[in-house]
Amino acid sequence: MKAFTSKLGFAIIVAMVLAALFAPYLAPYDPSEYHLDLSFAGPTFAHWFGNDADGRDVLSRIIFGARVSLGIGIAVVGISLVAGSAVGLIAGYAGGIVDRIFLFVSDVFLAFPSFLFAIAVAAFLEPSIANVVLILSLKGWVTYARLTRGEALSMRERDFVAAARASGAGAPRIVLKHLFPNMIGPVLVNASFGMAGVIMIESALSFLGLGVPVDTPSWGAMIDQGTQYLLIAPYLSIFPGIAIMLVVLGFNFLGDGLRDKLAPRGR
Amino acid sequence: MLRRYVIRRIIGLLPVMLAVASIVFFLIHAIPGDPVDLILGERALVADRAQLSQRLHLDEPVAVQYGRFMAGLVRGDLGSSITDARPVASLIAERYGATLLLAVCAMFVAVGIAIPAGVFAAARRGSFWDQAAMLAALTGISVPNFWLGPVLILIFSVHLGWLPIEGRDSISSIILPAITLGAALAAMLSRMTRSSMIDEISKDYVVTARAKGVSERGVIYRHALRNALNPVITIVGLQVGTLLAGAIITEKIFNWPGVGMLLLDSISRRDYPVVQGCILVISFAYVIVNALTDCLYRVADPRVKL
Repeated sequence: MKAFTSKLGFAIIVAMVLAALFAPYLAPYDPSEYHLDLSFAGPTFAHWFGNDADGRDVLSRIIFGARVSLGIGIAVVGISLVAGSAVGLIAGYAGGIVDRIFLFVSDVFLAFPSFLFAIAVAAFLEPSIANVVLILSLKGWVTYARLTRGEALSMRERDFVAAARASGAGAPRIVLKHLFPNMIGPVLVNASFGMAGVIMIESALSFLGLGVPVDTPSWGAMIDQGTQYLLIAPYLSIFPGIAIMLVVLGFNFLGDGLRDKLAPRGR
Repeated sequence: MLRRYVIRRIIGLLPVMLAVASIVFFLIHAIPGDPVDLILGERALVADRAQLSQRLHLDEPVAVQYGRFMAGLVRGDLGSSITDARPVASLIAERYGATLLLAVCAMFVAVGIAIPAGVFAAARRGSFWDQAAMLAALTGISVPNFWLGPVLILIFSVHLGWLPIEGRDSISSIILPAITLGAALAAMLSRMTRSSMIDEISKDYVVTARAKGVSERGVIYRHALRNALNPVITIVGLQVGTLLAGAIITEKIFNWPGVGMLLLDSISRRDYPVVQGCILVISFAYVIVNALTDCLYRVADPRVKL
């Protein structure tokens, strides 16, 4: 079962990544081309997922939307993972006052529910993709920092680290060559769930009009526009929602499978 | 011992809350540009700008503004709304009940689904039903509530006509919002309950209970479930904040007159004092509930080291 779902998750992600990479070739139409004569035209063979209020092809917008969701997800998880792991490793390895300061700062960040924090910052910024990445990375690093700090703390006194220290390795070398490679498993598990979380929050922000700019083909924004016409054109919200669900499910499945393989302690 | 822990936990909250309040205060100052421009637009009249700047005390040094903000906070004064000059605290107080009602109902939905589902799956570990339930749970976690809400409206309000589309006119108005908000939590909790139950079932005291002839039902409900619920309670507590934040979306979908709607309306009106107030109140509620959960957990399970 687990083997099946994690393979399924992986397959979904590969399909989505391919859709994002080859969007201009796969999308049957230009995602931002207006066809007012096709306004609210339901699903047909020519337009599988129908057309929105401006007659834009929903399927093409969903395919291009994969770029937005996955792009933001990769950027945020990448930045958070690198920055967070760096901070966490330093705090965990250094210990003492550095660690205490780190713990307090991360406690403060953790005092905000992630989604509320995103709204709080977004409220004061213009909607843009760069701002969404900034907003989500601003809190995203904390999870990775806490994780790597905990791992570093527990490994610091282990024999292999003592051996490295005795053979003359400096702190940067110990942290990068000895500590970090030993925690890549749990970090990857977190990154997989992190992708799911980031994509969900980005879509939610865009749904509220606080994420990507209007007219960017974003799944969250498409659902928002669709709900205005829920009674006459329900497919406008339904298809982008399925896209979000699939990609989030994909990363959750993958994360679940990775956790059993790479970080069995965290079950 | 316990009392000392609780007191220490409460004192520990203060610096965190202070820092949270500072972040919320500085958000408006951290943005590039003049907040007055942001609120009135760059082409506003000089006199209007000066007046607003004075009303929000933006003409004072930041340190003085910060002092004023914090002093107000201690008195429960969150400033006043730019659009209608009413105190932010009373605007929020008016709406808080609706949000709390929504969150509590969502919690009932979540717990009501999750505990039976988790116990059922654990008791039949590895069976088809177990796998189906857990597959459903993982899918449930991945469903965005801003999609589930409209879909529920389509099915139950539009097609079947059983429930109202939006608003808060009758008791039935709460059903769809509560399910929308509670579904993801239900999915998460049922996974939690299942794994917690499986841990308990394999323990010695359960083996003993079975050996002395306690029925399967008794083993599950009277012995294992009681202990298995402890970690579940913790997750429920930790998720209250997520519920309060998630309520923002649910309130928008169903036009539910809570703090979330107030926050979103204020964001679109650029009524920043109200925005700050809402964010502050929700995050404080989150911090406090987390601390309470921690304390409750220790009351429920005296073995936990203080």
